[in-house]
Amino acid sequence: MMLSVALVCAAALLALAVLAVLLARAPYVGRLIYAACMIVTAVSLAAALTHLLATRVPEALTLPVGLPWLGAHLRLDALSAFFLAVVDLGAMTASLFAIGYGEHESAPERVVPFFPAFLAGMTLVVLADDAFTFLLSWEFMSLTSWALVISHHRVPENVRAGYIYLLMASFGTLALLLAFGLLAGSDGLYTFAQMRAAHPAAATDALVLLLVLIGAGSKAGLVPLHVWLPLAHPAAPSHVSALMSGVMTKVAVYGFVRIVFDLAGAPSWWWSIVILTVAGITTVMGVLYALMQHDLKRLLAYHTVENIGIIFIGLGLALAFKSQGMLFAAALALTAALLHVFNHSLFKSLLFFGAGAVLTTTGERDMEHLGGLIHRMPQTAFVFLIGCAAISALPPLNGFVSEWLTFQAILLSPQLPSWGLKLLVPAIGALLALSAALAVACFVKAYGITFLGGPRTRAAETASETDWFSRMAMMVLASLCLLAGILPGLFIDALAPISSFLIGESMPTQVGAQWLSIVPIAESRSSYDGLLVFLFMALSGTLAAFVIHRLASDRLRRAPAWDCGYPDAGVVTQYSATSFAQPIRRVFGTVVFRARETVEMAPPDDTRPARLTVELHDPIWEWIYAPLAGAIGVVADRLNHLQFLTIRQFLTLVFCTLVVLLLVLALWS
Amino acid sequence: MVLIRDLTIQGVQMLLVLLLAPLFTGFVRKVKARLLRRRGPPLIQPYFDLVRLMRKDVVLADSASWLFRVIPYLVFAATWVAASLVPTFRTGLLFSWSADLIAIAALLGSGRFFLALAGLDVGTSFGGIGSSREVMIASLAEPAMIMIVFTLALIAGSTQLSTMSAFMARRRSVCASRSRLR
Repeated sequence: MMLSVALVCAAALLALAVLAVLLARAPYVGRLIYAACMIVTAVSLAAALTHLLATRVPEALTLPVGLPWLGAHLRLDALSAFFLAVVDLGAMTASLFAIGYGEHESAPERVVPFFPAFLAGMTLVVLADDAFTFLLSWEFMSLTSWALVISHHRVPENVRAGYIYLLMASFGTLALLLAFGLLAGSDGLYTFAQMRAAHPAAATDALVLLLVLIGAGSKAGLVPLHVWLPLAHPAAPSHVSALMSGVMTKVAVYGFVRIVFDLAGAPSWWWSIVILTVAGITTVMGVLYALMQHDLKRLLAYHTVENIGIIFIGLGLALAFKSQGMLFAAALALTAALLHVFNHSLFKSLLFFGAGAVLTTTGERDMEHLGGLIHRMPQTAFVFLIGCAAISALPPLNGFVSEWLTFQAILLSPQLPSWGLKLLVPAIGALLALSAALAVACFVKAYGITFLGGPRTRAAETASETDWFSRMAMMVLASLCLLAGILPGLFIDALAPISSFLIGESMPTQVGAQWLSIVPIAESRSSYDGLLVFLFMALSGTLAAFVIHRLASDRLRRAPAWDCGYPDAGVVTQYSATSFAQPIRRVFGTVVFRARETVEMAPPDDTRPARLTVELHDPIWEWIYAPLAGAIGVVADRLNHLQFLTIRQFLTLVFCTLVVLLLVLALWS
Repeated sequence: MVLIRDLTIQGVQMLLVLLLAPLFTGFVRKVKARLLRRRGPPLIQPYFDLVRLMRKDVVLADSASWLFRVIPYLVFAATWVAASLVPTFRTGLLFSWSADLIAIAALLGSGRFFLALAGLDVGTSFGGIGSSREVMIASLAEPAMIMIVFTLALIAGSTQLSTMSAFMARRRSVCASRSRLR
């Protein structure tokens, strides 16, 4: 029943896409389509939540479309219902935001039709139950989002971003295609049910894991496959950036969880070593990259890389515990990862909406040209602050809860029998702690430079508060961030069916615990109560304010800020994003990015200003992608003469290829 | 009755932390001064400073926003909540289960986050330099602190402060009795 509702919603979204093309010239078509998208995704969200919280019985359906002998298999179980809810919640708020934001779009006919299609693509990926439907929806999702990335196609930067995105997306899909090919085996078992029943050899399973890590990891943004993400996410219009960063990366996580935890066979212990290493590097690299940025949207995109790393740390831990038979700990780690999936989709959408609101009113993404927006956009500034605090994992907001659960899972690692994991996991914990601290630095910078201080340009000076719809969307997300932070037990309990489905064990029910605290293992071991921490903070803050105002002098004077006696400091003397990050750039950047600062001082008789140039090198691009691109260029040049062969030579070539392929097939089977 | 006793203990504990905190600041200043071979201010100087500051007007910069007005209370609240969860003279505090050591570290992090924001709010380069250095030091100190928490938690098998301190106390008594036996 709920599956049919979700499918009807997906079909309605596709119909809306067609409608948007037909009505492209009509007035108010954008608002209409976005409003319709919001209603449809709200229905779909209700269906997903009903399944996740109430019915909980897997539903399957075969539609007579797609490949003739196969049909399209679709299924709604706890895992897909959860990810469907994440997709729909993000889509709903993005549509609400876009009702207002879409009015500022310069070329709406390039955005409006693709938006519902993109939503439909993501919905179908999480519902697919056979390899063909999955890959088709996955590609549909990639292509529609690519179209949205290059919607401002006159900017050369966006076209390049679109090109790299398209390359990486097709590469990722190729890896997934091969992974499904291996899972299907020589019998061609295309449905997920058949794959689940089949037991491939351990070597095949290992190859599947690596391919999925490449395929889903490139979409999610695991280092070193993340290069497209910080280019493509900021290039799209902001509501689409929010969807790509907050939701589409989660669909990639879904693909990974579905294949590795559900379809592939029993995990080996070394799988988690691969995943944890990649995830740990992703986490720290993501936040370090983010710290070096001064483009607000690009900073947020790099931060997605970091959070994907945190999610994969949870998933890697879950695999480690599962492979050693510690099902309870595995359930804890998986729940932490899934909760972070949900949390990240909330605050990342919120932050991208905020960046979009800033972009529409000032036309600026560069933080060095902003400043002081808290005076002109007080409501946006307030909700953006909540988003910043949540993503920096500060209690009592939601980001802290999932990171805390991940830490609790890490602390169970001494019980692992394998020495490799015993040594690796605490190191990953250290990386996680480092990235959490750097995230705080990063968001102090993002918020402080953009919203605080004085306006650095005329555009920032004349900014005004954004429209009602956009504010509404951000407030919904901000209140959800707070709610998930102070009542995490409710959300953890909703995830229980998933871990019992994938692992066979789930975390104990949290809602019954006293004062709605969360107790992952036992109270003597660890517990956290967001509600009480929130209440205590509110109480002690109010009490302090009351006491100070009663006892102390409550007269208030305004005066110019003291700046060492300089008469007119001017806004340019404020700290900028680059100068704020300088100490961290010197500590970490000199090693990771080979950062070099050169100061160019004009000689005494010259009136030129002094110049500070900061040079950064992207290690991943220079060491992996540039050589790769070079090698492909060289090979293409060498093979160029193959285009000018005679017909006889071509036929010989085709024949030889055929013989080689047949030989390979004969040897393999 | 038990509840009232526990509440009193929790309250006394919170007040104690609040009252002793300036003394500790004074002690740190004294040590710093002695290391520089100065005599330094008296130990209870921070109390005098607080009383004096209470009598003064609030002076806000022209460019300061509402955030600048709120942040001191936020920083105080986060720090006080974190401090009141630490058992000082008695373990098993009434609300000690509401946050563990990781949460306490994160609460202190919250305080630092808002403090750094306040530095940037006025828009002078002094505020900027302060908050920039604050977050840089924090980004190095916080992982170190979490690592120490980890080490203790791995030994004690818990991140709950009451459990950890009880475990350490037991261990110490075991060690002491062992050394006596020798």
